[in-house]
Parts: sequence; C-alpha cells; structure tokens
Amino acid sequence: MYIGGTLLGFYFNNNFKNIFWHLRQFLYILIYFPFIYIINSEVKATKYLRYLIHFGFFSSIFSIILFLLFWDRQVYFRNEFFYSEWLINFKEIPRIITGGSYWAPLILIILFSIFIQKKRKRPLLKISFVIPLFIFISLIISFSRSLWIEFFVSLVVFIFLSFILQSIDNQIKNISPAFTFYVYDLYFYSYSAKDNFISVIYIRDAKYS
Amino acid sequence: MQNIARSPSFLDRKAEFVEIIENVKESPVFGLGLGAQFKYYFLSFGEYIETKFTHNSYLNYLLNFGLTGLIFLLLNFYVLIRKMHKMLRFVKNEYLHVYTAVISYFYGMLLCTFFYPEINSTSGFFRIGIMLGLMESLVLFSIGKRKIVRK
Repeated sequence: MYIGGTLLGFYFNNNFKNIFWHLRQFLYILIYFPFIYIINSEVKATKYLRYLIHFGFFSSIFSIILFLLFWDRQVYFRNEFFYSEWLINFKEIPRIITGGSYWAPLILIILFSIFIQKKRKRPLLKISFVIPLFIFISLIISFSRSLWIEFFVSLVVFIFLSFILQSIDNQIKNISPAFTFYVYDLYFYSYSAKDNFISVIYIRDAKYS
Repeated sequence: MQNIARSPSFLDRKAEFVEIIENVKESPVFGLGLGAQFKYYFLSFGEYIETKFTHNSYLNYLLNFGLTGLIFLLLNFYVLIRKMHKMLRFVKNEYLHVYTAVISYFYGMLLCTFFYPEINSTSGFFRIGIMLGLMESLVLFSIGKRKIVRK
C-alpha cells in the first residue's frame, strides 16, 4: 500500500520531502520487530513496561514544570521529533503537550490494570501511586480533549471487557455497575446543565402556569 | 456542546475535513499519493495555509490512498481486532489485565483518530508497534513458546 502511495505521490508530482515525511511515519511501526525479539522473558517484559511507565512519569514532571513556568503566558512550543510546532492556549491557560502526553492514556490504562491486579499474590509490577497521579495531571494540563476522550473511552472499554470476560477481581466487579451508572449520570447532568434546556423548561412552565 | 462547536479548534478541523473531501474528489479511488498537500483557511492563524498534515487519520488515508487504501486499512484493523480477541483465550490470568488494557486502549485510539492524528503520526505508529509487540509477547509467554524467567 505504501509503495503504491509513494508511486502515486511521484505521479502527482508531490514534493519529495513531503512524500518522505509521510513514508517515514509508517516506518516507526517496525519497532514491533526488535521489541518482540528483545522481550523473550517475563523479567524483560516487566523491565520494559517499567521503562515505559517511568518515561511517562519523567515526561509528566517535565510537563508540570513547563506548565508552572508558563502558566500565565502564550506558549509557542516546538517538538520536532513527534510533530512540528504549536501555538497553544486554552482559554488563556497554556496547553503543555509534550511527547509523553500522547503516551499518557496508554500508560494510565496499563497502570490502572496493574493496580486492579494488586490484590493478587504476585503483582506484575509494584508501582507507587504518585506515578499515575503525575501522569494524570500531565494528561489534564495537556488540555487536549482528544486525549481525554481517548483515555475515557479506553477506561470504559477496559471495564466493559473485564466485566464481560469475568477475568476480574471482585473489587472491580463491584465498581463496574457503579461506574456505568456514574457515566450515565455524568451525561444527564451535562445535558441538564445546558442553558437551552433550562430556558425551555422555564418557557414551558410560564406558558402553562 | 455549543461552545465546542464554536471553538477555533473545532472550526479549523471542520474546514480541514471539508477541504480534504474536495481534494479527494480529484482521484477518489487511489487518492493523491503520499505527500499530497491541500490548502484551507486556518482560523487560529487567520490566514490560508497549505499543509500535508491532517487531524483525522481516516481522511488522511483517504487523501493519500483513496477509497482503496481506506478500505484496506479498515480491513486490516478488523483482522487485527479479531486476532486480538481470539488470542484472549490463550493469555494467562496474570497477564490478562495488561492485555485487556492494551486492547481497550486500541479501541480508544481508533475512536480518537477521527479528530486526532493517531494513526498518521510517528508517535502513533511507534505506540502501535510497541503495543503489538507487548501483546504478542504476552501471548507467547502464555502458550509457552517463550521462557518465563522469574526473579
């Protein structure tokens, strides 16, 4: 597919730099091969999982420091490795999106799964609660609604799948219905909080009273 | 919801999506190839910009590879998700949480990619590569094709 796309790119006289820019993105998926080769034991699996989590942690510290430095300024942030550049603000608050912010939902959902497993005799990893807290803060201060949605959807799907698979401990089984109820409640609350809805009720009341 | 619909971020994405669809009409079956650019009014900067970057990854595939590429991509995802779910029954209980978490994240990623460049960015592909590697390893440990060395 990518070879065809490259040939088409040349056919439509697209800039060679741009063709390569698109092509190189796909090459990053090849990390799969060394990764599968390196992880050949459980010790190594937990080791690289720990690296991933610590990467998220240090990156979140970096994000928080940037946020504290620039909280009252216009931020023009450049990150050449992952993307090009942004002028970032969200209602006069700087949005700090670093390389680690993209990883935050994945790392948080893995951490959540590990914490649920905690009651087992031998947990996969022992992690301090400070790490997910910092990563969560970095996710919040990114002010990227897309990343929030990504995390929230992942969490809902995770709880749903865990519930379906019956692979879960009792404590998550108990919170599953409560969590589902909370999501519904959140939806109805946000709906009823809308100005329009309130004004419609007011007009109707006025009309029939 | 009204605030979101009026925000520059939303309006920029909307303008971008409309412009991509207009561009795709030129070659809908195979697309415009890699490196295709398009021009649209970027509200946040208040000027027209020419870019190769899209926020919606599916539209990015539509622009670069046309309907053929998009269908191929969706078929790939379908096969991948089916394989992931089939493998669930082989994963040992102690890895099942992490495995399920990664699958869940994959679903989140697929939804998020409607308005975020999750599968047309270096970071996104890097993440998918690592996720698949991790999942494959967990399956291989579980079925005993890899040694399990414990501390």
